[in-house]
Amino acid sequence: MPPGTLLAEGLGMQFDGLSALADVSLRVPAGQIHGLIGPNGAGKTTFFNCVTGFYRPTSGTLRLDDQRLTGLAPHEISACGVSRTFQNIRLFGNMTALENVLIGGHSHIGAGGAEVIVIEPRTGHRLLDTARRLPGVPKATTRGVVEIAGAIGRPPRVRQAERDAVLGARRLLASVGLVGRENVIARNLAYGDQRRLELARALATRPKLLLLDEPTAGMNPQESASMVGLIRRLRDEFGTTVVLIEHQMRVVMGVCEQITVLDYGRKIAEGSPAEIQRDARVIEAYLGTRAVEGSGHAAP
Amino acid sequence: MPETTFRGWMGDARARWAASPSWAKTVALFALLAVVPFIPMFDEPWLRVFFLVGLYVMLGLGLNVVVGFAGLLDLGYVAFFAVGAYTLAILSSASSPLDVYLNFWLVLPLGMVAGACAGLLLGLPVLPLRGDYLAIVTLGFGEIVRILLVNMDNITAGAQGISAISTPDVVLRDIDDPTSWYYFIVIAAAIVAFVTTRLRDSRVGRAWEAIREDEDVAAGMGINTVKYKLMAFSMGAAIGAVGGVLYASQYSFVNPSAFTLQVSVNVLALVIIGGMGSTTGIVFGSFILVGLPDILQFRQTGDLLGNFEFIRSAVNGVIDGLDALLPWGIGGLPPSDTWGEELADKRFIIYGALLVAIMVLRPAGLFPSKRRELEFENPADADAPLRAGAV
Repeated sequence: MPPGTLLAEGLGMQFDGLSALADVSLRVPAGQIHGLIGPNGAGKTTFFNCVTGFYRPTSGTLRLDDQRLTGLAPHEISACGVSRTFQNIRLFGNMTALENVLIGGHSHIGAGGAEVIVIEPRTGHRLLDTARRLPGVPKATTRGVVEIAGAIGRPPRVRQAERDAVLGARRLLASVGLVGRENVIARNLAYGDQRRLELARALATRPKLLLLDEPTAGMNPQESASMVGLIRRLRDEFGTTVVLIEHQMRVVMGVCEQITVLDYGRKIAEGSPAEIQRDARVIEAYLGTRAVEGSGHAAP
Repeated sequence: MPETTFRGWMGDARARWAASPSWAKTVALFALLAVVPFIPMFDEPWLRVFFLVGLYVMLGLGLNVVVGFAGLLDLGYVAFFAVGAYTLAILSSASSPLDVYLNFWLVLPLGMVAGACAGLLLGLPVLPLRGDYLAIVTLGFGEIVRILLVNMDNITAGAQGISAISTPDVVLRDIDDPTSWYYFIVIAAAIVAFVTTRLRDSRVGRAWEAIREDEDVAAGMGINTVKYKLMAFSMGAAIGAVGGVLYASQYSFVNPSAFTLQVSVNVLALVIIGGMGSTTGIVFGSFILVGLPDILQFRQTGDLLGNFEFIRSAVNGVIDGLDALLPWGIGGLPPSDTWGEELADKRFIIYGALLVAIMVLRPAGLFPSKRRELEFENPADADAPLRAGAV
């Protein structure tokens, strides 16, 4: 079985007495496209922020496979294989499309390690290992110095790593349909292209779990349809688990294999799209109690 | 047909310059810099001004790593300059309270390490701060260092300062005259420019830029923001400390009054005037902010203005004409050979007006940094089909 199972147990998030998430338990099996829906303010984005470490949940635990995510810093969670996009697109606006994707690939670009500053491998490595173990000098310091030395000296290995990274980033841009726009400044891209670029950047971190926050927001039906196709294709190609927040029911019902519904920070329903469409509590959350009583068979 | 007008010729030259490879530009630039001391007009006072300009170019490049690359507003940059200067002063001078006499070349790396450590020391407590708050705390840091220099007189000799600081020797040639120092600072600034450019165009520089653009998202993409912010602080500080070492060695005397907030402000201003993040901008910014006030005082500037007697007579002619028409007098321009003195007296007014004019006319600085386009190896393989795991 491929890795990428997300497990949330009793997840809670309190903001000064306001409970944004309460006792949310959720299991997303590896490789699934999972929908997270609910009315505005239901805690969907808060859930994403907890998973990616932007917020520190006040109770409960999060796991990705066997790795505990709660308590880790955002960059450590990213290294565990979690990546995301944002509801209000948050690209690095003044950097080019290609550079945005290269940032996503940051952790996978060789900084050079010991090879960078060592000319004679065997004794050099031994010397460097000794330097790493210097009492009182934190390991991160030596690593930082090596990284800077690698950037300044730019030895063949670093050049090669950079070339490979650029190639990989271009492939990713091609796979989301941004060929020929590699050197366009991100903020000058068309809206739909910015969403695609965010997706490419998220994929560049090589995620096992991809969190998409309203990937089709503000798109017309054709653009939404092609985005849905893209999400499905990327899941099939990379085998990534996908959790997506979405408001357009056509998208949710079309692409998601399983859906979780949140309301006021609580999980009120879970099931296949067909089950969710029939669920009375979901209809109530979306349309209000009166509507349900009045018509009897309203569908969301 | 090539245009023969001056404007056309200028356009041609500019296009040719833009099209020439970067190594050719570099060679041309260095050839130009190398002949400067042989031009009779540039006597010793000029070379001293050029040294100062070069020194501020170095400091500007260093601060640019922190402010321009990583977007961390640092108003206490003088602290690292002071750390470098005092490291050399204390470890090399006979008049320092410490009984150590080390060679310049031995102290230079020590100064860098001391500067980098000071950078870490500043960086650690300010990690959670952003924008204005960061600026205020760094401002305080600069002052703390200066006050420490005054009060730790058992090491720093306090307000009286340290003199007779050692100078470097390069291939049996002692660097102690303005010409040698000029060449020395040109080479040092060139090395620093090379280092900062390489850093900018690397994985590290990209991470800094991402932090500057959006720190939270950068962290979400796997960048250890704490590590990279500390790297920016200590890298900038190390460069500032090298500047301090060179400064102390050239002046051969340091005391705390040289390390005031004014230095930090000057360095930051020249980075902004020049155009944040651009090396060319920093060079020009340094010329205008550091070089110009001194150049305006020079006798040659006065002599040059003395040649413009014809302007004076023309303007006075117009004024006389007006006087004949008006019932009251307007006065007249003073003789042109006094213009130099006037200029020297009022140079800070002119200088201030110039800075305002630059910021109004070019809000992004003189030479805003251009986005560099990444060059691709071979355009064909972008069309290669995407395979799972190929990324």
